[in-house]
Amino acid sequence: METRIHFTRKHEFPLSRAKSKIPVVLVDDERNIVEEGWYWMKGSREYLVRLTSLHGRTRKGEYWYLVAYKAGQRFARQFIKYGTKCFRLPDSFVNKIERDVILYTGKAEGILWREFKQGFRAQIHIDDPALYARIFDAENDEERGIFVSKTVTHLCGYTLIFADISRHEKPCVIELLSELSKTERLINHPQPIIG
Amino acid sequence: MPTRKIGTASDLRGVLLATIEGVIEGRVTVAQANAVAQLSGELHKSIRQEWDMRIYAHEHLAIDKGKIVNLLAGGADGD
Repeated sequence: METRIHFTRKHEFPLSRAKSKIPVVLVDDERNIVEEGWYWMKGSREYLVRLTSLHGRTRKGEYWYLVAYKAGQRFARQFIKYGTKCFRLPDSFVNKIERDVILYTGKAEGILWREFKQGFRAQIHIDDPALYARIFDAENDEERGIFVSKTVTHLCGYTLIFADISRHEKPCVIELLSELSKTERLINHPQPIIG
Repeated sequence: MPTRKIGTASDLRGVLLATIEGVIEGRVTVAQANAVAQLSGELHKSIRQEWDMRIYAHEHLAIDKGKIVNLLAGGADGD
């Protein structure tokens, strides 16, 4: 089962939307909705901090948003205990996320959890044969690129925040991901061999 | 980092992924990671060159006096 994960930094969370009523939905592995509900964000300190393997969709279509809330909160724990979960977010909220989110794709296995000093966590999928940091268009699921940064990088309107690698490690990881991207294309879209 | 033999593109992907993981976890030095990245870059260059040469062979192209010549057409085919 493929999962797609977003995360954003604490200070980038739309604080103005604190106390928002967030519609949520749980889905099974076939993405059938098994439970719907609402989640009230309680205060401005609440922020997107942890990602789980969630399938997300809005009322207007599938967005594949995977969002969870600060670890330790009851609602987050409730969601985390499920194998497959989904938040359905308001469009305005989704639009904000589209700009400030990081996407990683991959399967649930081989997830490397990284703790960040800044106070958020992220899943970095690096074991799966078909994953690493890949950016997808939320509207049409089209892949937009691959990138990584220690802090923030902008690409195609998205913001990526990467792991807490040190400054001198960052360039080589970026280079490796670039090579990985090329290799991925080689595997998935090999140029036709003539003859 | 376990010993790996790169025989296919999937092997290369595995090496790259393992290297990234190693860097993040501190098991692989930056110098080692850069070496792997450089090796991957050279591999991709070679693969690209091989593809180009296959195309040249298929279309009966050759280089004559610095120009690409189509052997079947018998003349310069542009550059």
